[in-house]
Amino acid sequence: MPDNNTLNRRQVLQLSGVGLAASVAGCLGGNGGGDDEEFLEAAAELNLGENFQQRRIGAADDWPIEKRRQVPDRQNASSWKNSGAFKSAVANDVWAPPEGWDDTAAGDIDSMTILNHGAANMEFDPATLAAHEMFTEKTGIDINVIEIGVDQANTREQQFLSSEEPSPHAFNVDGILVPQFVQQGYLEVTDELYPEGGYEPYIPALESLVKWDIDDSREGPHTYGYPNIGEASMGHLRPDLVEEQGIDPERFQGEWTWDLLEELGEAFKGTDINAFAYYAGTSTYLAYSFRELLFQQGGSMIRDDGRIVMNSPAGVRVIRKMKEWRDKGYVPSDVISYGEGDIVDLYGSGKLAYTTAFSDFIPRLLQEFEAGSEYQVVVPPAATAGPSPTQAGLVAPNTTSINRFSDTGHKLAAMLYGDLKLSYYTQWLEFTYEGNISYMDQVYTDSAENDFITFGDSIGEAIQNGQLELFPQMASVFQQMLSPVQRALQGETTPQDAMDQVQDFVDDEVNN
Amino acid sequence: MSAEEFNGNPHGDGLAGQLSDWVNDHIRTVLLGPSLVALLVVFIYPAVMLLWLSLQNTRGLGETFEPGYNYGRIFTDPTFWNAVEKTLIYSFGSLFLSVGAGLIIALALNKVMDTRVRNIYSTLILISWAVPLSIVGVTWRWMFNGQLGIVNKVLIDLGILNSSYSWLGNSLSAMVVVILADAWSRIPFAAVVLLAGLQSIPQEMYDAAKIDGATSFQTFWNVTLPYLRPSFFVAGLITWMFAFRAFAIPFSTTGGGPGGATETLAIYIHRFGIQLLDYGFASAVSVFLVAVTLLVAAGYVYFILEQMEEIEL
Repeated sequence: MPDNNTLNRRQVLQLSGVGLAASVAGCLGGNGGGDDEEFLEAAAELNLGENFQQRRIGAADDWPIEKRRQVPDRQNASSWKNSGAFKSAVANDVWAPPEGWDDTAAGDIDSMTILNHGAANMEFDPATLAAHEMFTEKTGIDINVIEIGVDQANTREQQFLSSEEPSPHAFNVDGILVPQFVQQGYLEVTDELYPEGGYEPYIPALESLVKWDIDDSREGPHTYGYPNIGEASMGHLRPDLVEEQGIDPERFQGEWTWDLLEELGEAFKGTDINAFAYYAGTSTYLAYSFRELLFQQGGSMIRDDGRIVMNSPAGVRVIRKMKEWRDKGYVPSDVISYGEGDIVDLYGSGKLAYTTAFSDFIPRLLQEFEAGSEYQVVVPPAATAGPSPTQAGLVAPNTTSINRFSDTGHKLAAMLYGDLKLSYYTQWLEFTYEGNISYMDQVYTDSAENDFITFGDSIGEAIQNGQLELFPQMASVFQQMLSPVQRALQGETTPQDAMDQVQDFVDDEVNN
Repeated sequence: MSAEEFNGNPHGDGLAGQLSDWVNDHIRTVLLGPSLVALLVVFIYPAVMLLWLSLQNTRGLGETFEPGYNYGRIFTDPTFWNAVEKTLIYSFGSLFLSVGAGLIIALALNKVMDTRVRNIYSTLILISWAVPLSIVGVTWRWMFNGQLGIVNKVLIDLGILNSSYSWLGNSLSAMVVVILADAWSRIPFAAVVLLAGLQSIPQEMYDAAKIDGATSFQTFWNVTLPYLRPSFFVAGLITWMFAFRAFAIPFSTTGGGPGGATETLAIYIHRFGIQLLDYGFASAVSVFLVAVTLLVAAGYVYFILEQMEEIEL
């Protein structure tokens, strides 16, 4: 006789069927994408343009300078909330969202997800963390961060955007990828963040970064994001190491050229310290080093007629010089594999006398080396040949852009976040605490007047000398460039042949 | 319960009863169905999509149906054949090293009489198998770092090197490093398979060889190796198949560089499919990769079966 207390075959099948149905239902689910027109109408209702100057910048006068110095200890703190700087910024409404924002769809949002290059934490990205905490404080919307390195982020973003995934709701976009993503229709329009007169408080690079007229799904120029961070490259010198080799560190102040760099290389030969270094291991970082050395010659990639030329004499000279420096031992042989973090580690371990790297290097190095005697920021050198040698570095911005495939509510929340990122509060902390560039002019004025930042003069000069060139499919061009350049550095092909290969790709894919 | 109740449908003759009858009559379909659906979703559909995408021209921003375009590009792209060459060097290098080292470890473990001690050693060896491949790659990258790596430090301290050597900055040494890293991660699998094979060899064969006055080498060559052939084939085939499709280790160690020196087919596919978004071409190369793997596996299995028949005879 069957036991009525045990599951029989029919019951198992019934339960399995219910479970399967539930699983299928869970897998299905609308992506919740917001219609373009619906979003644009809703964005207008946020009233971001109303009184934006006062909301974003004007209230800065109410933020006491002395309170701004009460920042958290990077080594020991994990949050800004207990710091005097944060508390006074909150109390004085240094940033506030526009009135009535919570009557829009953004008011229904409890949290949003942002994909962040690096990590929004005290160790690597404290100013972004400060922005997140302020945003949550003022709006009640939590920010969940997906942390990922920039090389991986670029490919990950292309994957989820090409699949039209609605999440993450906002994400950092490397500057060289912005035009490509715009062209592919992945980014939401953010025009409401830039009302009439909206660019006036900011440096010109901002408009160049966010404004494009290459999205076939939309007429006319539009903006596609807001600044996340911007880095300017500058020289980082170890005066003590240089002096040990008989070179006067003062020669790196003011005007200097590649000749001095090569003199440095000769001086360190036979020692266990490297003179300088560059990146040639990944496409993203090769792009940094290549452009720096190109700009230092006064060269450029974009011609007046819009054509992209990579195998110009200046472009070929970059590779030739990279090879020469590697063959002579001025740079580590491993530069051919250097990517994110490699030069930082080498410099931090005391094995490097000079390098060009981004400004966010500075706070970390100031924790390890004494300013002035052991560590000095200098303007990068000028080339000794080229169209118009000039002391130049690179401006490498990235945006936070809004996922076009997200729902309206989350997109509006991301617009509010953009308003905060454009505010004095965020731009101040990016520059004074984290060492990134500020997109807001007033930050430089205020920090200089109040002697707020170590090496302020050098940093300011380096930022002014920083150059920016962006064109569609730039990331693809540098990805295609990596292998020929690495072969050229090893002597398996000539620099000219390597750059000619790159130019063939550019002519096929970009210039046609 | 009456006989009628026992033999009749407890759900009655209504819809429930009919459904119940249908399920009873098609029980195999009902039980296998979900598994087949899963197979369809996880394997068959992606395979069909892969074939379909390989027929699309996805260069630039669009997608157009051009059946021969991508496959034609395969045979004219010099970097593709470079990737094939590097993949063959990588996979066979890893195969020989991992199976060779696995054999040595298996022979050593087989000599350990105490079962508990042998199991402890086996577990320790398996630790390297448990480490994720990307972690293996990153670790080996750091070990062979030209400036800060421990390998250079040890070699300089031992007097073997006078100064730091750029292991990952040179095409030849970079390939050696990734092969070593891959072989290291696959040795445990080979060792376990070969150990199982060793333990299945009848002791009488060794006794007979001893009686015949065979030396250790002769015993190994004429008794151990022939009996180990099936294990060799299994360990070799599976090791080679995984190495042929390797991505995690070369990608996290060298990224395929320098200059394509360690760019395996998987990294090549990644470059086109993920970085350059030319997923049509990447799909065509993937089809090629799968086809080669299947062909080699089929031929290998056929060869093994023939060999095993000989042994049985």
